[in-house]
Amino acid sequence: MRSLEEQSLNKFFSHIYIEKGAEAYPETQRIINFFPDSNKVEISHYKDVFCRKGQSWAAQKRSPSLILAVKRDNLIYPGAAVCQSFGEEHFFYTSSIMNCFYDCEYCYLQGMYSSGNMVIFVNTEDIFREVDRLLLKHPVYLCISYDTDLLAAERFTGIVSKWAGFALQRRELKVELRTKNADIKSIKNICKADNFIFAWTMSPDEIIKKYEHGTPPLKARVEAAKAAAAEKRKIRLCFDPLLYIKDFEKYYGNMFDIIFREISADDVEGISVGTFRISPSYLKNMRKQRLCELTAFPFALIDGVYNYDREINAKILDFALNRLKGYISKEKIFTWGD
Amino acid sequence: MIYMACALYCEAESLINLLNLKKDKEFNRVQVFSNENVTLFIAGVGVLASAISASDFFACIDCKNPITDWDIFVNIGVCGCAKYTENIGDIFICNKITDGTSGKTYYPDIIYRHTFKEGELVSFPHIIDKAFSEKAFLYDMEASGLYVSASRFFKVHNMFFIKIVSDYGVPEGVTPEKIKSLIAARSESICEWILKISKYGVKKDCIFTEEEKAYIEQNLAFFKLSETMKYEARQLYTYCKLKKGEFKETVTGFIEKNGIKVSSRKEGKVRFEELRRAIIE
Repeated sequence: MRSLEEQSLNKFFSHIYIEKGAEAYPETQRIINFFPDSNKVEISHYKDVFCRKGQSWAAQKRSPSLILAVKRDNLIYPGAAVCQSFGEEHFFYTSSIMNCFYDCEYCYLQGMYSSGNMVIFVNTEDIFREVDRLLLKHPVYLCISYDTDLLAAERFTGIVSKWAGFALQRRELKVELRTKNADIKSIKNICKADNFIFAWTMSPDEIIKKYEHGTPPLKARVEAAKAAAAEKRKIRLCFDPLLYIKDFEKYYGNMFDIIFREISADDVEGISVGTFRISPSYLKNMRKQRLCELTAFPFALIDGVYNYDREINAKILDFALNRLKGYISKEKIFTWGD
Repeated sequence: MIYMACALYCEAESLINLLNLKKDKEFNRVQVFSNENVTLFIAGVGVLASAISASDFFACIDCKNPITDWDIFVNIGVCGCAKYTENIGDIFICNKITDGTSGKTYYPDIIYRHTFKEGELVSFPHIIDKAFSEKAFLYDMEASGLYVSASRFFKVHNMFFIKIVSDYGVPEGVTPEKIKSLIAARSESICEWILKISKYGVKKDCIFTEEEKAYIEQNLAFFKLSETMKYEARQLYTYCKLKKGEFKETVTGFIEKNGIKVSSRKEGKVRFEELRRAIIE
């Protein structure tokens, strides 16, 4: 049952801020049509709303507004050192959406952005052109769903479908879609491409219930990954971040059993394994935003990144890798930091 | 606390009566009326005048009782409207406020449900006549100044600009009596909504009780920690309390069990590392 406070909040995207110039894009019209009752407010630049002073990330997260804008620079970024490259040489990422539907207490987005509102960049074609420019120089491995969960917004954006269609025609491009979403209907509507990889972040239900607010349960994620594999789509499983919680061996051990009971290791292209890690500035902001056992942990600063200390790290990784090797060949396992 | 600002006394009168606000004689540069939950001040007419009054008032308040992230600011007043499709007396919450002189635009967050209309407002430094009014939808003479001032003290989701349409660009007929009557007829619904949402602010939890805070300070002195280590220690105790629901018994228990005495900063650092290990394992 929703509390009186929750009932008093506007529903998600009750307000849509539209950057001047963005209204002409078909993506904008599609999104606006999906939310016909929202108040529309014209803005000059998305940062006028997204980067205002005095915002409360926590308050906005409970009733986020949507900002539709045109991305003019930094269309593609080089892959960050804290991210898993899966051994790919030319590793990049792009952000079609800033911020996420879900509310994971350990998520770096709350340390990265001062706003809980969501920005959707409607000029996907411009990002495509930038990728084509890069492809003239070398193959590209591109992650498209880091600063959001693109699949969770697919019903009203269609961005994932566009990316899959784009990848299908470019053999030198490999795209990874990281998600916790389990909307099998959306997945079935996305065209199949061998160079388009669905990568599910998997967590034990105990962690999902406590820390990954609004995300589908493990069973639903497993079902979605299984359905994608059955359609011969490329899938990855991401056990990242592994969290140091009481009885982590029991919870993660059960999770591995559940997953590999349902999904054949032969259907999995790769697995990513990594413990929680975060930049110092993000962690500082996250701790200001909310009190959470996960982020309050006394981390060690190792090579400019906050991480569990070496002993704990080794304990978690040794456990996870030993268990995973029982299910899948070690060549398919990628560990962050290796 | 709810802080209300009206440009004129005639805009404030019905609110003062409804909320049973009493004149607060502590302030001599602005007229202030208050009860235990609401403080209303008369900001004066004009963008600049209202911004200066508000800044002066909030600075005084903030020195005495710091304004918190869950305090609320509300500007209530009348405005002109460029569209005859809207009715005199309609209540608007402004979702976009533009300063008519600088062209700068501000966006209060509207995260709470309401039954009022919403619209964009432009604040001009002078009275707007009919011909000029076509540049804006709603227009007044204070909101942008009050926004700039209030945004230094309040979170943007806790700032509300509520305007009642008084005219269509013919300000001559807008007498103090008319303003008073327009607001009086609507003050109950406005106040009811404000009082309701004022209960819902995101309050930042303070994890430690006053007694625990005092214990931490004693404990930090006991371990003879450096300033950097003190920061780390507070973080460790926060983690311990979130994890176990308490930290004092854990820390005291560790000290007593191991018979710890600290005679130097170096020894304190070693002992503290042992405590850290004990807490995270």
